[in-house]
Amino acid sequence: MSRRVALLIEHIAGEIRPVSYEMLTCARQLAADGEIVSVWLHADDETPAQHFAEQTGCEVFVCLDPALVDLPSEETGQALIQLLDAWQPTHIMLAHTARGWELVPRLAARLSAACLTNVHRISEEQGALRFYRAVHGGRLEEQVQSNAPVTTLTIAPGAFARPDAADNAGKVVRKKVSLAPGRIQVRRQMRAHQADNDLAAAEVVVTAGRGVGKAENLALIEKLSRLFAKSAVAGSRAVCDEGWLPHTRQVGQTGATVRPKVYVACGVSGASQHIAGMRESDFVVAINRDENAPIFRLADVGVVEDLHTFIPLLLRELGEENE
Amino acid sequence: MRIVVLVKQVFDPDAKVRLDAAGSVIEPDDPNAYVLNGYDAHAVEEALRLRESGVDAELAALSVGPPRVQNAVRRAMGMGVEQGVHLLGDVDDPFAVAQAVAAWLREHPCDLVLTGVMSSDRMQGLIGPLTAAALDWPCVTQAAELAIDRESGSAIVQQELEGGLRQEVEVELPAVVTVQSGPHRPRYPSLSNMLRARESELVQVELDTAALPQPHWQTVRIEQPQRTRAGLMLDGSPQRKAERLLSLLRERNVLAEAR
Repeated sequence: MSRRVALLIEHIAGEIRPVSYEMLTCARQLAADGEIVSVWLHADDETPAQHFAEQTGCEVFVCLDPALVDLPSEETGQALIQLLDAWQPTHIMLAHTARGWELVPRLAARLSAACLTNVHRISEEQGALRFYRAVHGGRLEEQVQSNAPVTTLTIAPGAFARPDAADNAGKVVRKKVSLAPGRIQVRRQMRAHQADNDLAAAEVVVTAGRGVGKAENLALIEKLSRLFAKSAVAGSRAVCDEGWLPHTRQVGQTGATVRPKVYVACGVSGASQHIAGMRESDFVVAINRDENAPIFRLADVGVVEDLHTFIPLLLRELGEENE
Repeated sequence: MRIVVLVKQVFDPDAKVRLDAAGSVIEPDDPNAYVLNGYDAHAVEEALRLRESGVDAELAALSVGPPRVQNAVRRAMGMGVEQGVHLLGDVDDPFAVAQAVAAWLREHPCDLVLTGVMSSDRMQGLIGPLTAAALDWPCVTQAAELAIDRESGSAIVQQELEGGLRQEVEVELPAVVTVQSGPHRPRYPSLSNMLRARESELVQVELDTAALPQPHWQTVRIEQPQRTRAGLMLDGSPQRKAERLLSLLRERNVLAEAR
């Protein structure tokens, strides 16, 4: 049976998130010669949907309804069920974000569907479709197979490449839905922490992970960072949650995304949420005493050493010990 | 109000996970190889903080699984939760777990269910939203902060979006909220609470596992993830590694001395 993949274009305040394009790459791989449709839900603006259809060549179902401002999960779920009822998707794809996480299990329960979260890769051999997701903090990867006629999934941001621009625009099809009011009201959206500007501008980002052990050891990371001409110090979520660095310096899915020439991960384990914020770095160096840390799997160079002894050694090697 | 925190017992995230030839995780016999899921500990912490902020709340911790999961419930009780509930049965599928939890909650109504944003082992993050779906309650995920608005009787949740954005939502109770790890570090169990927890009887219900739904998906195998980069692991003495690393960094022309 040919596959029919529907995806929800994720946006924040009308601005399309990069993961929406990345999902389309995944959808194309998944659908093979089947059909794909994207869904745009918004209060009153369909311009971004037209832009998406032009850029990608993908057909877009557009539904405008004041209740859909900020994509509240209950109303969004109702809208998706109604819009896709006749289209009969075999796969429904959302981004692995707070919203996707809230909504996809509810869709799965409603449709008696399989529900696979944070998928970062798919493969197919002799018709057997496999979905891959991180387990055990990213140290291991689980291969999953769906046994249900419908599969719902959330896709890890940053896991798939953005597709090339299309030659021909996709169709935009306007649809109506009727929504019952939900029980979750969005009161306001705010920027909890704006990533510091120097993070994006830095050639080298030196990141402290939980492995630094305590706040005092950040001094070592700062010293290391000063070896580089144009550098910035960042932290993993764990380090910022501990208050060792402000959240404005957090790299990862809920923090900043960086693309430096060199990324030096010190004592960072490399959970998938962290990787989402740094995977596009040109060159990745990982220093961690745990040789099984997942960060080594996406490092260009790995050093299995205790950073508390190794970084001073590096500094001495460059004759910086008196700094 | 009554708050139930769903807790899971997981493999100690700091221990090495062993796989058998078929790609299944080998479950250790040692009860000390399992701990309370760290994200659920954050959910317990938020429940205790709600009460400390003046919300008149009774707290219960609930876990589903084999007898060993009682240790996770007792850990939550050690932190300050007064009631422990154990739904006994070897149930792994998230739909089945959520059905079992929802059935118990229908008989023992509560106002708010809290749980961690995901478990540190399977990392699916499904139990909270699926329990909400089974009860037809609203669900808010990735809560960074949580309060109860006494006038409206609803929960006010600071929800984490991506890229440093947050949104504040108001959700009608009863509801399920999943808690993200945040600055509120889970407290250590107190000795007196631990002693009390050890002596107290948990409410135990044996599940009729045959009546629970069958899984819609299955794990084919678990493996080491693929490498996505060259992954040159430096070897030799620490000194030698430092020299090699510096020469590799010099090649990238990013060192301050090189300019």
